Amino acid sequence: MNVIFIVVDALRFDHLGKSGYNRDTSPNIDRIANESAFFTNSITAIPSSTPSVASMMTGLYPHSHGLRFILRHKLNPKITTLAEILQAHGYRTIGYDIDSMDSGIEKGFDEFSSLQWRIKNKIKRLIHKKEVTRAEELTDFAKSQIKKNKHKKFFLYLHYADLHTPYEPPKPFDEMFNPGYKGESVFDDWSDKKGDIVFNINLPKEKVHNAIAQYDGLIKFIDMQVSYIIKYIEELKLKDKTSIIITADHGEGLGEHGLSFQHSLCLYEEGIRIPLIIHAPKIQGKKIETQVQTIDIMPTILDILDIPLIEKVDGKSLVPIINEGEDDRKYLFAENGKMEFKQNNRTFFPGIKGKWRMIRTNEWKLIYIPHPENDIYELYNLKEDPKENVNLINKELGVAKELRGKLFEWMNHSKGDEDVDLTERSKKLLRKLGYMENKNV
Amino acid sequence: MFKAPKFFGKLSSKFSGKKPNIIMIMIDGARYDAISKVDYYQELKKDSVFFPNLITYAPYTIASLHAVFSGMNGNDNGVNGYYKSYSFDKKKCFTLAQYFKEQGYHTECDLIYESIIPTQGFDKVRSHNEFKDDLVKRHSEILLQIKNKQPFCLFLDYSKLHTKLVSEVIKKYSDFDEAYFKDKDNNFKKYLGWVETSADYLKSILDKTKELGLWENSVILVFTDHGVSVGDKVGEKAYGVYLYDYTLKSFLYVIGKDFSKNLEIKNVVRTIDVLPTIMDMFKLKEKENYKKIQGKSFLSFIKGEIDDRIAYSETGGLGGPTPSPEKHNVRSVRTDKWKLVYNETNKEKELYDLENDPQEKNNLIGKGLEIENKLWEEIQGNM
Repeated sequence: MNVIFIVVDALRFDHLGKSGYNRDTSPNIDRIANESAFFTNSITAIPSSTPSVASMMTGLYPHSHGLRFILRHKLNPKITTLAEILQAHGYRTIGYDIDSMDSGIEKGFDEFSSLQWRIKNKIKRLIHKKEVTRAEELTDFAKSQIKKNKHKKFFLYLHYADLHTPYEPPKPFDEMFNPGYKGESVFDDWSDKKGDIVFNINLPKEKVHNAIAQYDGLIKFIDMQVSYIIKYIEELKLKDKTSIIITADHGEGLGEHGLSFQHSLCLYEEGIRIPLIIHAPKIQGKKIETQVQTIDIMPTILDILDIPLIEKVDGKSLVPIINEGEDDRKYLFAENGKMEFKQNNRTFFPGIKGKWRMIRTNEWKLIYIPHPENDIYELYNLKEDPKENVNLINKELGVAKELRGKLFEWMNHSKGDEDVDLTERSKKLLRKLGYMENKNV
Repeated sequence: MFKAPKFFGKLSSKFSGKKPNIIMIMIDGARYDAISKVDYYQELKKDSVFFPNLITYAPYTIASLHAVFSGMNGNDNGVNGYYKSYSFDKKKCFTLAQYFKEQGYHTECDLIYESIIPTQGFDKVRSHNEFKDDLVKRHSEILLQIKNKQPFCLFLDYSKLHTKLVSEVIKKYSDFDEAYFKDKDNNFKKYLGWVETSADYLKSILDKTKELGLWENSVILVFTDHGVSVGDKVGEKAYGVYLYDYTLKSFLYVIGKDFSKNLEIKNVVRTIDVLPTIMDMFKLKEKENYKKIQGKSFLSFIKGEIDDRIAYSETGGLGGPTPSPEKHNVRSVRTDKWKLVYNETNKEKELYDLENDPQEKNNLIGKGLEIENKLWEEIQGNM
């Protein structure tokens, strides 16, 4: 059995057609979701790309695997990854995630973001004078690897990064959901004024509307790329012996809670609720509403492949939930990723100390924001108030007390709360990725 | 008695240029006279050098294994009492895993609890669920995964015998329970069944090393940390109270392509000698600026160069007639032929001629034997 593990960067759950979104953003992903276990309450352990991928690959919360900030931290080398386990079981392990290189998650991959392939591809493009997006490049890579390894068992991890800000879909996806728009883009000054945009609660409505249309256009573009991969494995008659997992590293805020075009700063549903689609030969199409988490992916893949799990992980296999509806996950947890902005007035300590934490049940969510004088708590009833507008912290005292106790119990497992100094190289990369402003450092 | 080996060479010369791995499999609580009744344990002798008289420093897991890993007894390494489990002198004792780590080995272990060995030097410390985990499946998977991390040093703890002992004996009976001590034959029969299961485990794991091609490039040590009582002496329902041979006598199989096969060496060797022996096999130099290893390599025994060793042991029971979990209070010295035991609490001494009285029933104290004074001096030297 092969495994294709697709992570779409910043894909929020509610913008898929299958989730009931009013735009036809994902016809191909919806089709595969209809034949799969489709989780409607899948939550990331951290809304930040590489730390989130590390949680998926290890089955661990960030405080267990150590990679809590992009570029500042690396995966604890003592921790075994999914790729290492599959490699030991004779899988050809191939990964493509340029933004996560040298983070430690490449451990166990026979090939990771192959430099050789990228150079070859670049030369080809120069010769043919053809510009391609990162997503197209990734799809080409995936197809070449599937072809090359079709007679072996393989694990292919693909990270589509194009949905990240600034949203720049290729034609015709740029006009697909807001045709005829001639105004300015909210991302025109993105590199210089990112903080001003993210925290601006008075952004012109038409600009926001257009940015969301661009975001949705990108989803449709990536949906098409995913369809090429699925069609290709069908052509090669590999679908019956391939498990396909499609998910996201985190969601994306599109103006909710006073924050736009970011995912890492907070722990509201728009940033943490993501799609999770598990397609495997023995799994029937079904919708599963129980809350699950990215840390469950690694034990689930091992379970599907009938490989014993000997690692101590925080997650649990989802196979019992899929097959029997069994569930004993009462609480899920998360920490935020945090970005360095001078405008950020909702983070009160530097580094890990300032991180928000969250506990979530199928009904409730408690968010904890560390503060030097009075820590801040927000409590939401997710059933009655799914947009998290009404903070019930002073009304639902019993629920708040229970969740706070459990949250702090979880936080006590956290080791090494000290931050790591950033090197100049890391700062440069963080700025490039848009996680940090020049003036702020 | 001693049979000269056909061949014994240097490890590195016979492992095709690759650094050999070391795999240590510990069968917790396997009694010497039980394994002699189980076919697979007997068959395994054909592939190994077998030491049936590995005398443990202490007849309970934590102190015994800390002695194995440090090459010194508890008075030096700090673990000299049940309640001293966390007192290992990490700063001054350089452990087996650290020696291998320093040589660039991947070091990994799977244990019932992390506290049973000093874990410094291990890259990966795993712990299993003694009740839920299938250790054949789990340890086979560990071997499969570690295959890609050669050279490696792996320690596997087979804990199921211990688990059975706890549920079927320790939790059911007192140290003075008549029903238990009167039923020794049945107790042994029951225990033998658990040992047979341990043999099935061992066979599966060793077969797995062959299947994965690790057998050829590894030194494999199979041993126990201590034996157990099956009701041999009133006052000790399981282990850790007294220092009779049914708990003190451990065993060791040494398997490796450089070592003789079908060779049994009955002379006394000690758990504190295991580390220096391994260091000798792998040509590792003792670390300076750390406490000196007390044990001595017995690798030369395989070459036919035997020296007489005196094994010093001690314990302090959690129960029994003279409990002393904070600090050991029962001490013994044992040679190939003799054993002297001294209980510090009741000031009683026992002397046994092990050659003629292996069950230790006839106490020869005060019979005017010269050996009594000699062994007494030896005990005092260790106190």
